[in-house]
Amino acid sequence: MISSLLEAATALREGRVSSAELTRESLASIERLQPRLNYFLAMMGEAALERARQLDEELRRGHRRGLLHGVPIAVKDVFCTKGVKTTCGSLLFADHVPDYDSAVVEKLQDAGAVIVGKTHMHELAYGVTSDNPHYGPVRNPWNVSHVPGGSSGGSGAAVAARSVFMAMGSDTGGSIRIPAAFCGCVGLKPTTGRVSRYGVLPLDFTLDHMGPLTPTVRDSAAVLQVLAGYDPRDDSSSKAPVGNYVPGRVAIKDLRLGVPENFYNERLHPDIAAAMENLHKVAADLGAQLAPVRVPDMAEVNAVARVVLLSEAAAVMSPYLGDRSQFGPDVLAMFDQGRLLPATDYVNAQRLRRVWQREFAKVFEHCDVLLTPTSPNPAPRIGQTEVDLGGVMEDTRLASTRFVRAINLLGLPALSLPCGFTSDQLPIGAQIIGRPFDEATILWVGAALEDAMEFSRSTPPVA
Amino acid sequence: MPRDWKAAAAAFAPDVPPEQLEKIITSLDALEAAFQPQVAKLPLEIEPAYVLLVAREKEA
Repeated sequence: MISSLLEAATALREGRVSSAELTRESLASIERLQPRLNYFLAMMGEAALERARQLDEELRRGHRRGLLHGVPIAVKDVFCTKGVKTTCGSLLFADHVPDYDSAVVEKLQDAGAVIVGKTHMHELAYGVTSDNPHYGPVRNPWNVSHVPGGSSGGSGAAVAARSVFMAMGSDTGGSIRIPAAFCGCVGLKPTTGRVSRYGVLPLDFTLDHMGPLTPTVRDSAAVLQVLAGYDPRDDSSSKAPVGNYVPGRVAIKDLRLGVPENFYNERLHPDIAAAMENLHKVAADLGAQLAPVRVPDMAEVNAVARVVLLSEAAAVMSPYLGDRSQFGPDVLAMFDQGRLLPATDYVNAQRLRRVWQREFAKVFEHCDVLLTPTSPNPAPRIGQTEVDLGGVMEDTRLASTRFVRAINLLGLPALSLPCGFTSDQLPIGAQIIGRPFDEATILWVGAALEDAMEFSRSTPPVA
Repeated sequence: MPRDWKAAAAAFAPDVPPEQLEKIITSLDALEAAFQPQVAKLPLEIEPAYVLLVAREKEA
């Protein structure tokens, strides 16, 4: 059975399977699971099959477009797709049909990917549950009573269920890494500027990042290899050189893995604390140096990130906020908060961002990457507004974003990979945070840990 | 100094219903409590981390 993107790409290249076969399997899986998971907003079945047949013909003629030639994938419904409805999970864009492709879609298609559909998401990408009041809740393949995380919840569910070999997500305060952790797959948020935002409906102007959710770390590396690079259509796009991201056989002996002594070990679900201890042991057994480090006051950094997000998101949506019936109550509450924050708070938040960037850079004088939990809690139940962490009831949104939100403000690359399960079989994710534009090292470390643990091979009962 | 969110809402967002305002005031107060002490310590010379790239620079 083919279970990863790179396995699929290899099988296609060697002629052991056709793109049409894989695409049919993908579409059949989605048709079977959609009633239970509600994880897609739009299907592109006929166009996908036609493209798959065309790509098969090209392969027969000896032409391979790129790394993803013939591989069925999906993209979150925030990425503009020419001629295909792009709703952003919102009533506002219910009939929005773009006349162009986003940069990410262009690059995926140039590399030969077959897009089978658009994945479901939290309304306007503004939340962590994907419990969407307009299009219904996305459900977690590991337990359909639980959320898949968000905002890229449909993408997490689609990859976990192995309905596709990759699904694109967007991440403004954890929206790739949280669903990856809650669904037991890998999620990569690249450095700010590494992957173009062109053609993505924005939640925010300075915190949005685009990246893949995949079955394995090497799969995410392969997708980054396709997506990375300068795009003049995105003002935040970087000209920093693109690295070689796909690790082969990896060794992490003597690499310094920073283990925070503060913040990231506070108010953790006990099964997550145990999984992190086990992860540290795995890393030590591989010869890595575990370096205890103290991080800056991340609660303060999170507060700065929230001021930026509330302000920018309210600014993005200001032309639409006159009709409150178009929004669900949770996102409306966030927009209302953003409207009340004064401009001085926003400017000072962007000034504090610079201060925290400098402070956080000092952490990497003592380690090569940071190893943390992705979330202090596993996937909550659908409708659960608070989680109990160490006897303290915490708002679900604030708890789930506690370890990931600040990384968007700092612009650093971060990877979430599966590292265990709770006693009731909900996945647990670990986060690896790297220096700016050093995706190669976090992918290298992630691949080594993944090889040693093999949690990425686990699939949910519904798959 | 605590912010008067109700006055701000009356001026800038009068369409926010009173019950919604009560809910978000709690959240905004908590946010300000974590945020304003940081602002008080900001050195004057720190500029926002938001840079306008002009076309000439982009093409260089």
